[in-house]
Amino acid sequence: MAKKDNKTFEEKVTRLEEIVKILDEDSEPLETQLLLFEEGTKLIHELRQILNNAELKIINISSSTNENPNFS
Amino acid sequence: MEQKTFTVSELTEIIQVLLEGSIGFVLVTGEVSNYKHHQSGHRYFTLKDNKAQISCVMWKQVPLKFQLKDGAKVTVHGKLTVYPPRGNYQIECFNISELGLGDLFIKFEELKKKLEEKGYFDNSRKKPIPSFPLKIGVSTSPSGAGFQDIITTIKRRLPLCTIYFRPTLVQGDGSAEDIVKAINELDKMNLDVIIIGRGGGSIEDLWSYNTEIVADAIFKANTPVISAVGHETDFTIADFVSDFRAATPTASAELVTQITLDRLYQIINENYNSLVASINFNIQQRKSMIDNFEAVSSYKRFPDKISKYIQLIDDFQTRLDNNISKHLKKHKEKTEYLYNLLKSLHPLQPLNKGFALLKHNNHTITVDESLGNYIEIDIIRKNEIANTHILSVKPVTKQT
Repeated sequence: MAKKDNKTFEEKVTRLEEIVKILDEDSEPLETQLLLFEEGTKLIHELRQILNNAELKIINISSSTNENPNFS
Repeated sequence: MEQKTFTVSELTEIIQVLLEGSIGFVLVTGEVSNYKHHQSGHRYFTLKDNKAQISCVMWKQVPLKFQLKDGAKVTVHGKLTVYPPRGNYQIECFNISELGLGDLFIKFEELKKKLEEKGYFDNSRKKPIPSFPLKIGVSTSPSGAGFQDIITTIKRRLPLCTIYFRPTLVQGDGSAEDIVKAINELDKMNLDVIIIGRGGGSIEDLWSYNTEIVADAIFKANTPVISAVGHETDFTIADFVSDFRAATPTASAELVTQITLDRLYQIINENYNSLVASINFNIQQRKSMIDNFEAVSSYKRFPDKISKYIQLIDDFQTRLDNNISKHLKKHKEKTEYLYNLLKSLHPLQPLNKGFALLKHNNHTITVDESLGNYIEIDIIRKNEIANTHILSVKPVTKQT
């Protein structure tokens, strides 16, 4: 279950919510639940890490009409 | 002739005398634009037609009979004056009368009606704004306050985002076309949402956002589009077509960051708490299930059941034992009887009662044989043997 992945923030949140739901429903064997719990806490750690390092990125897309930059 | 050199003030004074003297009082029709009701109470605006414009002022003492606003077609009665500090001329108005709605407003209303009939404004076709967009396209002027407002707001609320900024001409020649291009370019980048906007301005300044090509571009975009044009009171065609209208650029930035960084931390903490609570609860559940197992009646009665079986088995054994000994005893008695019977039938047995056995050379003479066949026989008794000669043999007469 533990593996290096390139999941996006939203995907991680979605997975976390999925795990919370499974544990809440108590529908899986306890052994599976313990593995899921481990995965969930790992996700939480990663998510917090992402938030702690969050920095707004601005990507500039150059406009194609620049001759008369009458911006206002 | 030597050219006279004026100071600026001197020249302006000449212009003032010339203009005010030879033109003076005028009656002018035009469209009101850039109307501003200043804090001082004085009212400033521009009167224009499609070729020219002229500044107007209406002092606060002059009563206004109707609500003056941009786009209104009016006839102004006033005096042409020069304002030396700015070097411009203006009409000081004494009276304004309304002529009907201005051309731009008529155009606006016509286009609005047309697009409305085409279904461009239908709520049913509007795309929902994602609650957690991380890729945000922005089309606005790089130098305007609107862009800074958007950046500052998003940075403060959700720095997790990436802003794809497309610097855009927002007014003047070619601006409508550039806005269309910007929307098309951003739409192709597979973003979560696009904000198109600019700061406030006159109806002319905002006009590009009232064009049909911009409306078409917004309508055809696959990405949800938020319009944030001008101030709260400004409405453009773009606002009606877009999926959501934000009153200002700042409002648009707040709209796309409804889930803030703080809220995300909170969500993660909540998820963590439910995880821990759930797993603990589920473990506890199983513990008590095992504890309860002992209390369950069938489990509890189990030892009783066992002892019952033990008793049953004991009973069986007892019965078995009894039967066997009974059988054994019976067999023993029978055996003893048979043994005695056998013993009594032993050929030597009669010797004990005084009977004798007749033998000839170890051959026992049976009852069916006749003694006449023998000359010499042995008479065997219990304690002695007599060797005898047979003198004569005659049959025994039977007594009745």
